[in-house]
Amino acid sequence: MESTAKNSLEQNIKAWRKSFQSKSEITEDNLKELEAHLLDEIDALTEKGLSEEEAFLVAKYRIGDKEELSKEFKKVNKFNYWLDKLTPYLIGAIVFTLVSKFYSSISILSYFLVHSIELYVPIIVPSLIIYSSLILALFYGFKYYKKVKLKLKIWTWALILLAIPVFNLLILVLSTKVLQPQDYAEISKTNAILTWIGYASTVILGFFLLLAKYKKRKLQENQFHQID
Amino acid sequence: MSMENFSKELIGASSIPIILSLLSRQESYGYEIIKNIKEISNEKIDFKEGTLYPVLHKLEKKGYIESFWKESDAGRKRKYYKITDKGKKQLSSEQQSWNVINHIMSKLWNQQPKTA
Repeated sequence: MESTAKNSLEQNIKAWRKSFQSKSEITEDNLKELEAHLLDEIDALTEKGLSEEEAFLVAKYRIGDKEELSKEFKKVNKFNYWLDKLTPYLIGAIVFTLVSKFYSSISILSYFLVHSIELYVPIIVPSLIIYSSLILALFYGFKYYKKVKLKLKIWTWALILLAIPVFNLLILVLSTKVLQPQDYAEISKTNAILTWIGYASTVILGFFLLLAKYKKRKLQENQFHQID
Repeated sequence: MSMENFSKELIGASSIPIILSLLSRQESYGYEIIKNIKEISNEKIDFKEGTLYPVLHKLEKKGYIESFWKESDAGRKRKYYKITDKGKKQLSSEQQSWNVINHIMSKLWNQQPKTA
């Protein structure tokens, strides 16, 4: 009996914590501080004779709900709030810039491939193969990443992102040394096709990601209503 | 907030000297600060958590107080705050201002100023 009561308190606190995590104006440090406060309040109330369950509810009420608190915290964590709002856009812009440069590298690479092993196919064919295998590698890489719960440090991500422009630059340098002006026509055609495929897949992928996020948020909201 | 008689502006203006004064006595954490203010004011001032923590963080940003995590004997980690030299200076200038106001009010209301 004792242990179930303790478990339910822990679960209550966990759910309470979770309800704040969607609020970027309340930092992890703020939340830890509020949690210590909540626990102190619960202790004081149980000493006065309330059950843990009752004490939790009263303490939660006194601390205030997330809307009320985040409004107050927003005033001090303004930078954090805006940074969090802007981060997805910044990441998107960086990835977009890098990826759009990447198409030209793929087309040049396939041009070399076609001509070096004397394959008589339009260069769009190897381009598409390289492109789709990269997408697949990304997809499975991401799945694996989620499965093993590998947490890469921020500089590892930066390094991975940096590898793309370095690769692009290498290909570019190589191509200016080897390619003739007439070669570029075919390359730029392939490039354009790849770019459009890229646009389309980004839009489709983005749509599904947004849909998934929206559904998840709905689900979370319903859960919190139940807790309240 | 059970501070029916106090205007929002007055609470806003007095919260900083109150918190700095408390912290100049000893380092403390949010829960204890609220409890102490309640005790000293005979339960007339009851800070809400949503009000106190942002004020503490604002004071920290201004360099008047410093924070650090400390674990209690029971194993609970709490964020403590302590006053800095800059905070002490701020407090003494706040004290002067409040004394002046106190003096004016007492005069206007025909009372003997307590300390000026």
